Amino acid sequence: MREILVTKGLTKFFGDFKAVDSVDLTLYEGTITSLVGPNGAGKTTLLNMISGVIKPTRGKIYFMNKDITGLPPYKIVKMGIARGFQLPCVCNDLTTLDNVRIAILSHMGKVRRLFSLVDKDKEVYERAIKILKTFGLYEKKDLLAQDLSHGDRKLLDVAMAFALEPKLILLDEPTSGVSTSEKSKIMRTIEKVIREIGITALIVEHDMDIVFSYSDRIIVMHEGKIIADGKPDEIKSNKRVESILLGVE
Amino acid sequence: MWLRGNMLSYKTLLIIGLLILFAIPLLGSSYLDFLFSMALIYSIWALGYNFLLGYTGLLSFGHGAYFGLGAYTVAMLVTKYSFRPFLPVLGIAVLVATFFGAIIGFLCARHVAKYFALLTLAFSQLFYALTFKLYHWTGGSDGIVVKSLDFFGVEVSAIKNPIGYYYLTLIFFLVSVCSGWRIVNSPFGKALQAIRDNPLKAEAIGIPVKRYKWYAFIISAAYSGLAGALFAPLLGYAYPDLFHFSFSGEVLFATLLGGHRVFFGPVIGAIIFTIAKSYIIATVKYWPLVLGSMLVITALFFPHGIIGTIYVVLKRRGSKTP
Repeated sequence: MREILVTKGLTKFFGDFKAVDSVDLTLYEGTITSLVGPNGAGKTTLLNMISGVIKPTRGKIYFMNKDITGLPPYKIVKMGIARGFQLPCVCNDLTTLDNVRIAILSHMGKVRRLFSLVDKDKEVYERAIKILKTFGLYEKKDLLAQDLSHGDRKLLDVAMAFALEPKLILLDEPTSGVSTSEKSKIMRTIEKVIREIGITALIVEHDMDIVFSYSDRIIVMHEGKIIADGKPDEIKSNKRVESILLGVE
Repeated sequence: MWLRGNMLSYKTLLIIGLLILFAIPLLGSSYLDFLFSMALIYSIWALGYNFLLGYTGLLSFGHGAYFGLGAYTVAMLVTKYSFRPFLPVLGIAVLVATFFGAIIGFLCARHVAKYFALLTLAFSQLFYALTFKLYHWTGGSDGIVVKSLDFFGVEVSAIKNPIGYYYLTLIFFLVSVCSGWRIVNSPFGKALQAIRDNPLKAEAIGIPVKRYKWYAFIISAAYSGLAGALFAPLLGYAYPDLFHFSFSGEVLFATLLGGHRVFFGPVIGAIIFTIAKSYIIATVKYWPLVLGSMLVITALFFPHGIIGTIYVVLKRRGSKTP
């Protein structure tokens, strides 16, 4: 398998606090990797650095052999890395359809058009409808994003990331704050799309049942460092991981 | 838009509105021609202002600067340099306002919220101070009297030919409304709305947020410049107070009065504001108190503005979403 993302010595300080400590990470094409660890382990900070939301204090990030360290998020997106957020991150006063459409327009480089009407662009509309159907949001396409349920807002956030047709998708707790029954539904949908398209995914998740069910590989972080990296069965039998994640001595 | 669920009513209302605007001069009152010319100019200004406030979520306290630049450019070209052809003068005025909008917007768009608002105010006040300092150019506190312009051999003067000037203004108003409508419903317009709702997400889907805020500022300044350029010949005068932040407050007031989240909100707000201000000034001694009270009542009880409130009520009664 080919390397798609490589980080070398990635470090982030917030004042004196070292949130991420010299992380060397390699992701391989077409795999679903889960990033787990207790709160404050540095998972979201790592995702923020890869997606350009924050700049690393030290270290390098290479995406498909290109140095993307410190690039702004909109440039990183154009290179093929999309991002879903921990809290549903959508445009509240736009309809579900328009949320997806604006992502597609951006991906297609049409967003600069000043006088063409969005409603007249059939190609974008059809693509948006396809994505909405994939994520089970078609029936709610005319609702404002603010009127959707929490679970649907999470799905819309992820759907917008998929609308960018990324090569690598970063998802930060895609099932947080949703009911147990909805969790499986959301993860099934996400996994199905990832496998179908064959893109690479790095998913931060707390629910270990979900992590063990869908991951090809699991990376465990603790206090800013990677402390374990392997297949689900290897991580399951790792006593140190068990003690850190479950607090078992 | 707010009556998409009932396109017939929406189109009917638009046609009625248009017919009323075309019929104003038939009433035979020069004062009404003047008043509605002013209302249309304020509407163009508010439309442009709303690209920032309503569609990008940026509050500017300094849009009098671009209005003033448009007005002063016309005044200087016509009176100081005797350059009188109407369309070229208007074009240059819009370019000047757009140019300064691009420079100031570049500096302001890098900041958010209160810092953005304060910077726009500061630049506006800078122009206000400059009109006094550069008095040999600007006429200082006296301002500049604007002589009549020339439109393909016909004299353009709001005093000598108020009906002609009203219809000229109406044409520019309609062009502004049509172009504004296209912009807010274009991919670019949707990108601005995404930035307004969630700049983090907008950037995460590949929209360069700061650059697009800057573009919105430039477009907004161009509309403001056009409004100012039409204002100077109407009043026959360009004066320093156009740059003062209290004048910038008028476009904010008009926009909020009509409703900044609805396309026609600023247009209706500007028309109501202009008419109300004119009658209140004529009848009430403490007119700023009355206008201030109007703003307080709007902010407290009708935060969506007049058109915005109508839209919300219709939505509650089952109309479709915009």
